[in-house]
Amino acid sequence: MIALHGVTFGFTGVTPLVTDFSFAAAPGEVLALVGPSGCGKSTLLRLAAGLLAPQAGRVERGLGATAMVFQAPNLLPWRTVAENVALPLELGGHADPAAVAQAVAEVGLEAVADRLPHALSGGMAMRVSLARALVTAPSLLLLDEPFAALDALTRTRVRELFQARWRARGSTVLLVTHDVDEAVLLADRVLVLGGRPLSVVTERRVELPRPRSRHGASLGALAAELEAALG
Amino acid sequence: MARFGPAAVAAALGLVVWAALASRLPEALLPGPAAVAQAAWARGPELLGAALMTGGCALLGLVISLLLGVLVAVGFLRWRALELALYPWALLIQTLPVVAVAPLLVVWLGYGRPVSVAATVLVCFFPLLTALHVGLRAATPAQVELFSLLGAGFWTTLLRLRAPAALPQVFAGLRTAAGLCVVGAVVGEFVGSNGVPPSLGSMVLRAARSADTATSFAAIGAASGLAVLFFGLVRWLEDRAIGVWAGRS
Repeated sequence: MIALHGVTFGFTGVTPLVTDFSFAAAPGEVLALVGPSGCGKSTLLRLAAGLLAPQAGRVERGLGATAMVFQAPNLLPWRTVAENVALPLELGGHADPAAVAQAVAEVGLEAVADRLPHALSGGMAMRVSLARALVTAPSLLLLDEPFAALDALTRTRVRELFQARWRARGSTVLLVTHDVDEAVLLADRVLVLGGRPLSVVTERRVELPRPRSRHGASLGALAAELEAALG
Repeated sequence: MARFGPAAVAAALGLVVWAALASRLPEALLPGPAAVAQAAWARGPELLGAALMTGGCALLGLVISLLLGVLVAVGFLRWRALELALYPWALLIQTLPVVAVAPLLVVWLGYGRPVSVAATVLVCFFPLLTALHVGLRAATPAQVELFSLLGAGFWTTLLRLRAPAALPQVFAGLRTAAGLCVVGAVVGEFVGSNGVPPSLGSMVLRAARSADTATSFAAIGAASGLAVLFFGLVRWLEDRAIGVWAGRS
């Protein structure tokens, strides 16, 4: 689980991004934070990750590992695919080649496990990034617009992979996106954010059956409703 | 072959122009390529010994500069106050004319190799420090965040992220320093070498004093050859260390 309780945060000299802001995601829930670019969604994610410290309030994380997938794949160019995936385990002091091989296989990259990142396509690099986040079986997974830089076809495939495999693992997922369709496709609950300081404009539980299709009529209607709230 | 072809043609043209100019001037003023080659052949063992002496000092100075640079750059990264206090003064080292400082090095260190090594450190330290300073900050903020999220402390992040990410910058600095280190060593020898054992700097001076310009040219050529050798060595190491992932192979 993850919960922010009355969090205030701002960068020096500008209006605070968030003031007395609270939200929580239950264990195993996929919570999407949707808002326009630059509204402070990624800052909320960094507060949740502990990369930024709130100036007031507190952040509560459940037990277990936290993993994050960034907007860019963020791979280390001198390490192979398998070595990049193994990084969290190595830094944690418990190398596990079997877990690495399984994570690489889950994203369908066994054939390129020994390649360096420069030899990968953008979609493949992002899949490596997802595998690296999941190799530790994190209890909290933070996704910072991980599909935004992918081409349409790759984006669809990676989203399907997310729905089919990783949602079943039971991690609590916090997904930051500016794409309402993506939020409705993947999340159990959507918070639409806006304003400065940031506030929740509207909140909707997505009670559509899985696996979901981007082209489903119910999904489209809910997405349109949230899009309208987003303005 | 295609890569080295144009350089070989340019060298051949340069030799022709040099020979043509030398044929119209007295040898004491400008010896031709043949006279220089003859002088190099005649003094081969002495030239080889001098090149080994100068090359050894240059290489030692380069290694000391690199180690010092690593120490200082890591200190700057670890303690911001140290960087603010000392980095401007590091720049001062670069502005020091090594020719003017070299006589002082003799006063402090006496005649011999230490002067040559110290002069090399004076010219190589700053380019290497600058390369290390920039290189250790070359990792992206997202990569640093990733390491932070994974619980890596300063030293783990330094060794597993910042140091490898710094390699392209460090090798760029080393390529610059590879040429400079021979200049530093030779300048040190101009003032700090008494010719025993012979060094390229002392050979150039002694030959020039006796109007043996061909030998001076041979010694200068050997110094250039050393710099090219060091540069090539750095490129060879660079290609093997980072050539593939930095996209140079």
